[in-house]
Amino acid sequence: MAEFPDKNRREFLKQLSGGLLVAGLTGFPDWTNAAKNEVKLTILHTNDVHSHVDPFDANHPKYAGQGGVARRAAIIKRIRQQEKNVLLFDAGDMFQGTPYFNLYGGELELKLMSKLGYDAATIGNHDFDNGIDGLSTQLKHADFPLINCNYDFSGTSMEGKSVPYKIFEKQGIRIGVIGVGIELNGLVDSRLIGKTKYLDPMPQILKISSYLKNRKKCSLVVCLSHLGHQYKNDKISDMILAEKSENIDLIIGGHTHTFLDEPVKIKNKNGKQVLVTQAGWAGLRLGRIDFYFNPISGENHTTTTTMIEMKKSSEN
Amino acid sequence: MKYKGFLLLAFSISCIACSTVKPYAYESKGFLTPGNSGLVEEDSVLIREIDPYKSKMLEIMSEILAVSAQPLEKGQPESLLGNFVADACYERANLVISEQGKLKADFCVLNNGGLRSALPQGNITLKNCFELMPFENELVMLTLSAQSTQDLLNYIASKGGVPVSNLQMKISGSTAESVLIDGKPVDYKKEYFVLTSDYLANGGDDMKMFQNPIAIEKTGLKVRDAIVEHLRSLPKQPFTAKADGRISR
Repeated sequence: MAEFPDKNRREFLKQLSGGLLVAGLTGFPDWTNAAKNEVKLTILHTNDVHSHVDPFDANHPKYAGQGGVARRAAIIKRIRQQEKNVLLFDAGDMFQGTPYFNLYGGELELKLMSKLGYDAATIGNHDFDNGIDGLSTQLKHADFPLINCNYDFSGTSMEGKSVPYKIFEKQGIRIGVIGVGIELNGLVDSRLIGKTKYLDPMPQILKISSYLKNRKKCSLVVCLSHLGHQYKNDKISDMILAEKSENIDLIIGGHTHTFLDEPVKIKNKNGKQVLVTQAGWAGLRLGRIDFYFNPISGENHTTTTTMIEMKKSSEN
Repeated sequence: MKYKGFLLLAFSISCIACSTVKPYAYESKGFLTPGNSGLVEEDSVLIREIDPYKSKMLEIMSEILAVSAQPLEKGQPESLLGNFVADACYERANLVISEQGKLKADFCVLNNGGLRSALPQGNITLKNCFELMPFENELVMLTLSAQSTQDLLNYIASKGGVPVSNLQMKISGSTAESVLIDGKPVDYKKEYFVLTSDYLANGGDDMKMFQNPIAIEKTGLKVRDAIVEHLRSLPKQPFTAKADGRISR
């Protein structure tokens, strides 16, 4: 993708914006054009798929026939046909939960996610279930990055195999994506994580999200989080992260397998709205959030959300 | 798909016309169920990709181990699934421990988080067991001090109940009351042998009372293997699990 000289382009757009404003006041607005030039971004998300490649068995007490990667693939394909700008994310725990992981160690999960065109994923605690080496050796099957800013993998086989953030660009709109993982002590067997060090997520997130929003001029900053939605105590969670954040617009959560019918709206430290979402687990749902940006200011002015259930209408 | 063209246009206008930052408009469109909106069912390319992995997996995993008269699901303070798994672990691990010529465990404590899927009514396959217990965790026996035992029992109460075997209690707030171990009232001056998973023994779920046990002994038996062996040992007719009130409020 050709990179615009950012500053010049902004200057140009600013002038254009002024022009439109004048046009608006003089009574000759070109609304049709403004709407046509609007940039729509569709973010799709999953979390805690836990190796659920196939739909649940027909005799499963709760989710009979629901889920399955092939169904998700068909729906994503359809959305990509309809929408120009799609980003597909996963919030961790891709691994562990069906014999596919016990037999193939995550190979199939990552190959299928690559086929589906995932743009990024963050790392969940169960992604360490075959040890740090079990994760790093499988990454050859993934053609998308793992994003995490608070695991220090120095001296492990994961060193240099994840990135703290990534910037995507769609029709001139920049989307900054951060990843954050849960405290591993007391959750993952110390033998599995090796020398991995967990860093306090909050300072990392504040620093990187500010960099993405203010320095890199991202219109949208998304956090892929495996911290968990909310706890009874003051343990760091997506809800606490949202409240304490300054530059995050959307938190795509995982870990707690929370089924949210729509994102929770939280006011951040500066009173700005943050959306916190999570799509249950096992690929039972695909979350969808559409952002509409003003191409001139880069500002997100409208957001719509949908939870897509991975089942037929006849299934309960 | 519904397209809110008019609404969007209205917002575009308001955003262009004002220079101050305003909260953006938000709308939840609720649920979309593919079957209701005529979306395609499954992607055939993906199915072909999965097939070779799937046939090998099913070859290994389709073995029917037992037949259940009812679905087994997890829950609190006790559940059919939790009771069944804890009893299976307690029984099979004690067989191993006895064969090693050691004293049997007094009771068994597991965690709800470790039960990863329900068991169906009808045929129970090896695949079901891998989905219920995908981890390679092994059962270990801890010798706990009287204090750690008391901490453990209150921990179970504060959690609202976890899968246990050979243990009964009433939860009162976050305290364990009327505790019976092996049918006898708990003795808070006595050490106990507790069977659990190495995951919990190694500090999983923040079970701090497991951190410095008087002794720890491996059984070499995986939790999943205990469940599988137990299912294989059951009579051919459909089995029933019981919610027997071992943990109550």
